[in-house]
Amino acid sequence: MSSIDAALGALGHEGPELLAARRDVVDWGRARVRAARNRGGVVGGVGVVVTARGRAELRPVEHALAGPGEITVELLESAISPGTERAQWLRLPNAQPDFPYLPGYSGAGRVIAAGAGVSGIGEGDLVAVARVPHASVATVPAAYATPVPDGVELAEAALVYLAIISGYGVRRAGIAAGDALCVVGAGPIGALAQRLAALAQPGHVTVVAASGRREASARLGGADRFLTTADDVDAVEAGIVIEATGDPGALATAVAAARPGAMVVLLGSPRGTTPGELLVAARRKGLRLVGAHISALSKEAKRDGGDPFQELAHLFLDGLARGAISAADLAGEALDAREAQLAYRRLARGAIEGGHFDWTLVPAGERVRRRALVGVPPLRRSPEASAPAAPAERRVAGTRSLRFSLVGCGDVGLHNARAIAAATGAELVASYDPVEALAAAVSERVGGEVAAELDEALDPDRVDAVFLCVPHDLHTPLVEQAAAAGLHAVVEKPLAVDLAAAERAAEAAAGAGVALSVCFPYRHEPAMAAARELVAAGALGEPHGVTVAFHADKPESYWVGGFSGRSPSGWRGSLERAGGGVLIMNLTHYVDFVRHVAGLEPVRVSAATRTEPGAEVEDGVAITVEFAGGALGSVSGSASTRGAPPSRFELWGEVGSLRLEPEPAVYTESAAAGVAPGRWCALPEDDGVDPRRVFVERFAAAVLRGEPPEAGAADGLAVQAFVDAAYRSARDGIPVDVATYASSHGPVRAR
Amino acid sequence: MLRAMAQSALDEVLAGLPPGAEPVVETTGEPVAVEAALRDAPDLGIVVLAGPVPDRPPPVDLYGDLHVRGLTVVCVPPAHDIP
Repeated sequence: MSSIDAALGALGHEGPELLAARRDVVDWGRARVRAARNRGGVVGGVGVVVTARGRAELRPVEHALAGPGEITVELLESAISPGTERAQWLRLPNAQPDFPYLPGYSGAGRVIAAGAGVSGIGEGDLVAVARVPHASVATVPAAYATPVPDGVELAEAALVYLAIISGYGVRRAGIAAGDALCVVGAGPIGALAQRLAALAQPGHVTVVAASGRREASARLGGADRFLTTADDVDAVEAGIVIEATGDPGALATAVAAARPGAMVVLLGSPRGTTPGELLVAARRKGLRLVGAHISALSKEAKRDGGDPFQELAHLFLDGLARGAISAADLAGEALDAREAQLAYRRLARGAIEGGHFDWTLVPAGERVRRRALVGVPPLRRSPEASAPAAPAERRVAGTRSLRFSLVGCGDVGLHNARAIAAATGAELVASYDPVEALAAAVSERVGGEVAAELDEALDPDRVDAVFLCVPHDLHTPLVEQAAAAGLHAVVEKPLAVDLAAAERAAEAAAGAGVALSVCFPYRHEPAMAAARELVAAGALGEPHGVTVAFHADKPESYWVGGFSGRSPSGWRGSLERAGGGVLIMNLTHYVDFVRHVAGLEPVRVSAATRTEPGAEVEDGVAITVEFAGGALGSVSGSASTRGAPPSRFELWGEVGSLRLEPEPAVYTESAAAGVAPGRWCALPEDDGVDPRRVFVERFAAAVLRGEPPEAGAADGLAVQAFVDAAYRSARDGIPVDVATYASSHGPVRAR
Repeated sequence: MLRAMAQSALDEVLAGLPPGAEPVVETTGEPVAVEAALRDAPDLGIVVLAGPVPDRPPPVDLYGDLHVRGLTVVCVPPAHDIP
C-alpha cells in the first residue's frame, strides 16, 4: 500500500472512493511538478471522473499553466462520443479503461494561456481541441488545438476529434468522385464520415443503420438511399463501405453491402470477436478490409511526416464555416456535467443518441480557478454528507390568534395542547375531557380553562376551532357538532373510523364552510419538508417506488391505556371504535407522507393482515400498492416487532432515491436538486422545533387568511380511502381499487 | 487448373498493391497462420490472405491488429469462387 493510500485510508476512504481520492492527489502533485518545471502557475477546475461501474461524478482537476508548446484552455463545450463512451460505460469488449478514468476526448473553448513557442494561437482565441477529456479546463499541446473559424458554433466545433476520427476513415477509403459509397452506422461517427466523404463527391451514397431513427440525419448529410439492417443490404453493391459502429453484426452488414472486390473500412472499433464465417464471406468476395483506428493515424504521421490531425481538423472546421458540412444535429443535447452519471445512464439505454457537456452550466467559480503552487495536497476526509439547506422559516407570523379548544385530553391530547400553546397565531382557550382530571391536568400544565361540558368547548363565542383528540369513532360526530357550531376542526389522524364516516365529516365541514384538517404533523419534520422540496426540484425524477416497513413493539398495556396509561381505555383494541390496528393507527402517517412528499396517489392495493388470536384489530399488515403513473409500493407494518428495529421508509425514482427512515438522506443524479449529484447526502436533522407546533401554526394562519388548511379533508379522505381499500382487500383476498377524492372544500369562512 | 486460377488471382491482387508495398502473403489458410500473419505484419502493413478457406473458421479478433494497427487485409477469393 502506498503512503498516499495509507493516508487516505486513515481519512476514511475505501474502495472506489479511495482510488478516486488518490487520483485527485496524484493529479494535484503532477500539476505542481509541471508548473515548477514551467516556472508557471497552476489552474484548477472540475472534470467528469468515472470512479466505478455505473458511477460518474465531477471531481477536481488541476493543470500546470501552459508550458512551452502548450496552451491552457477553458473548455466551454465537450462532445460526447456516443459509441466509445457508451461502450466504456457498459464495459464492452475493447472499452474497459481502469477506474478511475476521465472519459471524453473532444472539446472547444477559450485559450486562457499560451506557452512559449506557440504560434497562431493566443490568449482569448476560441479553439477546437482534440484529445481532451470532459473537463472545464485543460492544458494540452498546442498541436491538439485548431482555431475555430468565425461563425462556427462551439458545440459543433467541439466535435473536432470525432471528425478527425471519422475523417481518417474517409481518408483510408481513398474515395474518388463517383465511387459508390455505403456507410454502415448513422451515429455521430457514421454521420461525420458520410458528411466528410461527401466533400470528395462520391457517386451513389447509401446509409445503413440498425433502425430508422436517424434517417433524417442521414438524408441531411446527403444520403441517396437509407436502409435498415432488416432491408436487402446485399443489393447495395457498394465499391467502398465504411463500417462506423464496431458492432460485429454491423460488420456482417458491411460485408454484405460490398460488391466483389470492394473495400471495407473498419472505422468503428470492433466490440467483440468477429465470427470466422464473416472472414470467409470477405474472402469469397475478394474484399479489402482496411483498419482505420485513430491510433493508426499517429503511425501514419510518424511514417509520412506532416500533421494529418490538423489537416483533418481544418477540413472539418473549414467545412462547417463554409456550410459544406452541417453538424448542428450531431452536437446533440446540451448536458450538465454535474449530471454526467445521469447522462451516461441515458446514453447507455438509448434515451439520448448524442450530446455535449455544456460547461457554462457549471458555476463559474468551479470551472477555472488559479491555484497556489505550494499548498497542502487534497488529503481530505471522505466526503461528509452535505445536507441541503433547511426548509425556509417554519414559523408563521401573524397579528391575530386562532382560539382553540381541545377535546380529548389523553396522551396525544396533551401533546397537541402543548403545540397549540407554543404556536404563533394560536391560543388554547379551553380543554374538555369526560374525565375532568385529564382536562385539569392539561390546564395546569399548558394553560387555558377547563370546560366542564362539551358545549363549553364548542362555544363559538369563546373559540374559533376545536382540536379533536378522541377515539376514532368519535371524530365524525364531533366534527359534525363543531361544524354545526361554525367551528373549524382539526382531528388527530385518521380523519374518521372508516371511509363512510370520513365522507360524512368532510361533507359536514364543507357544508358549514369551515376548515377541516387532519393532524399529519410529521410533514413538518425538517427531513420530510426537505424531501418534499427535493422531489419538487426533480431529485427523484419520475417516481418509481416506495418501501415502508414500520416497526413498533407495543406493550400489552398499550391496548388498555395507551403508551402512558394516563387515560385507561380499551378503545384502541376495539374494531368498532378504532376501525383497525396498526394500519389505521400508524401507517396512515406514511400514506400521507407518500402523497405529500412525492405526490404519489395510490390507485390499487393488495393487502393481507395478521391478527393475534382473540384480538379484534390487526397486529400486522402487508400491502402491495400501485400508484397512478405506474410506481409501485410495498407498505408493511407491525405493532409487535420485538425489539422494534428501525422502521424503513424509502422513495425512489428515475434519477434518485430518498431514504427517510432511518437516517434521512438523498441520492440524486440531478444537479437541479441543489445537492451534490451522485452521492448520498444527509437530510436536515431534527431542529428542535415540535412539528405539531408548526402544524398548528400553519393551520391557524391558513384559517385566519380564509384559506383551506394544508392537510385538508381531501388529504384525510385520500388516506382513509387507502385504509378502507386495504382492509377490504385483506378481508376479501382480492386487489381493490382505491377511491379518489377531489378537494371537497370551497372557500373557508375566515374568522 | 484451379491452382492456376488461384495463382492468377493472387498475381492480380499483388499487382494492384501500391508501389513498394511489402505484403505478408498467407497461403496456408490455417487459422493459426492467419493470426500470425496479422500479428507479424508491420503497422499500416498489408496482409494478403490467399490460402484455402477453412470449413469451420474460428472467430477472429480484428481489434488489436487490423483495426488499431491500421492493417489492410486483402482477401483473394478461393479458386472455386472465381467466376
